[in-house]
Amino acid sequence: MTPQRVAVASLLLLAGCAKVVKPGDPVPGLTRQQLERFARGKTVFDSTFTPATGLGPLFNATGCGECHEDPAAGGRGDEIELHATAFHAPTCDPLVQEGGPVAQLHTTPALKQALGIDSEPVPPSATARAHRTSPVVFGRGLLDLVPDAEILSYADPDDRNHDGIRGRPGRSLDGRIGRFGRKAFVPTLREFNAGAFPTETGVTDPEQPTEETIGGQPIPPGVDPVADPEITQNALDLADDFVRFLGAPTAAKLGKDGRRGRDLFSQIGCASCHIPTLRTGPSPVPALAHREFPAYTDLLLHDMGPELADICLGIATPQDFRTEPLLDLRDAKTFLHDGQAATLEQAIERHGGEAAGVRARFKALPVADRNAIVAFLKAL
Amino acid sequence: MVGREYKEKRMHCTSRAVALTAILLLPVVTHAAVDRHPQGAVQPAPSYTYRGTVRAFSAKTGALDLITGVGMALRLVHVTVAPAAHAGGGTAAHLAGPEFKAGDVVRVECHRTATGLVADRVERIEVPNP
Repeated sequence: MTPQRVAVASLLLLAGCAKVVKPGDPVPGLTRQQLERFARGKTVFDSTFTPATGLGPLFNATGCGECHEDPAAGGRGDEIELHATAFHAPTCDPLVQEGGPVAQLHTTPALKQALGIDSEPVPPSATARAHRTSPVVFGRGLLDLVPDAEILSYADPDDRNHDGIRGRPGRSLDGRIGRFGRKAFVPTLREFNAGAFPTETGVTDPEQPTEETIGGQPIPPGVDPVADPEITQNALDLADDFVRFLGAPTAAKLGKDGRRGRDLFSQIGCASCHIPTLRTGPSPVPALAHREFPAYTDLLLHDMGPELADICLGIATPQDFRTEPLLDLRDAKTFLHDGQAATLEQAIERHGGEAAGVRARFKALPVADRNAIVAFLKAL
Repeated sequence: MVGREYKEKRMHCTSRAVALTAILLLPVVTHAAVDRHPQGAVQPAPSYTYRGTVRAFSAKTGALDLITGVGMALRLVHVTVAPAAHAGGGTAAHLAGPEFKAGDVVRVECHRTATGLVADRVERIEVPNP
């Protein structure tokens, strides 16, 4: 074998051995120092808070890891939380003055003793309630780095190409393009993480040092004696790095059915919104910069029809949902934002609105082809 | 002899403890001294900047309810937009109070007074569509 052939063979071998990212793995290529922060951040992510360390007085979980645990830290949970807002077209009121938009499901013993409540009251002015599952947070550091221009390039609010699919970016309270949350309301991963501590665990942090009200009313005296912020900047930074460095899991090797399913997924139009790969922009972390990664989302809001409609948030109407990134579906036990679909077929059949045409094409496929699409999705 | 040694050691320890305490307290004492402002000195009021969405605004009272926050941890901030200002005061060019409506995205610079936050400058932020 000539030296050139040896070099080509080695390159092919290396390409074939590209690092497989399993659920819970860090993105490949992190430095030793970054891997150390990933490991230390996981400790913060997995820690359990108590009232003495800042938990509550309202909370959904005692730590990040309680809801993001399956099949590894950063994965799904079986918890379902409750959100409520008021939609008075065209304006959405997140009902902050009544404790919205998240109505926490648990209270600390001190709050229960003071007010006699087991959970936060649902805002009385709510026009809708929504159930929300805990999604995987794998690959979120990569999604965070998808440039605004790339997201906007997929938007087609006036349906100029007449495919029935529009798509528009969600917006944060201050007008930036949203990437995170089922309503594309949060523009950056940092903000999502910094807001998640107080919202989900009631633990204030240096970037949101103010406790939320109890249904709009102040916290009774003595109920929350821990000084704010209840975690340090260092702890927040580490947890943020852990989530940021979680890789997007590599799809399982596809069989013949899976390969046909992948083709059909594109042919019937699923890939118009669930865009298979996105590319990150620049980042101070070379392992995250300018990377193509499996995303299966366009990060845009789409009208999903009246059957799925629940709450509004930001500029998202009750019918608008951000295209869910299809990551680690192989480990999912329920599907959709509310966990109401028991199977992938049910999830697809609940797609309406802009996706009604795709749903119709899916339903018109022979059983073997529908099964092939499901086989492909189960490999993700 | 043993008792004298013990007494000397104890005195030595006490002196070290006093010295250590003095060293540890020094910054506290000096910081406290710095914090004591001379009477009549004018301290600039700390300023705050919020970006968020208007929930409600009363042109009559200047009461502005602003929804702001981090991620999903949303908070309501009450700011008073001084009537004099939006009637044509020194910063009137930046205050568009009477035109605010729910859903507007704004940036508010304000300072804290005994009665709450008072806006110094309010700018409406145009949000591109889409």
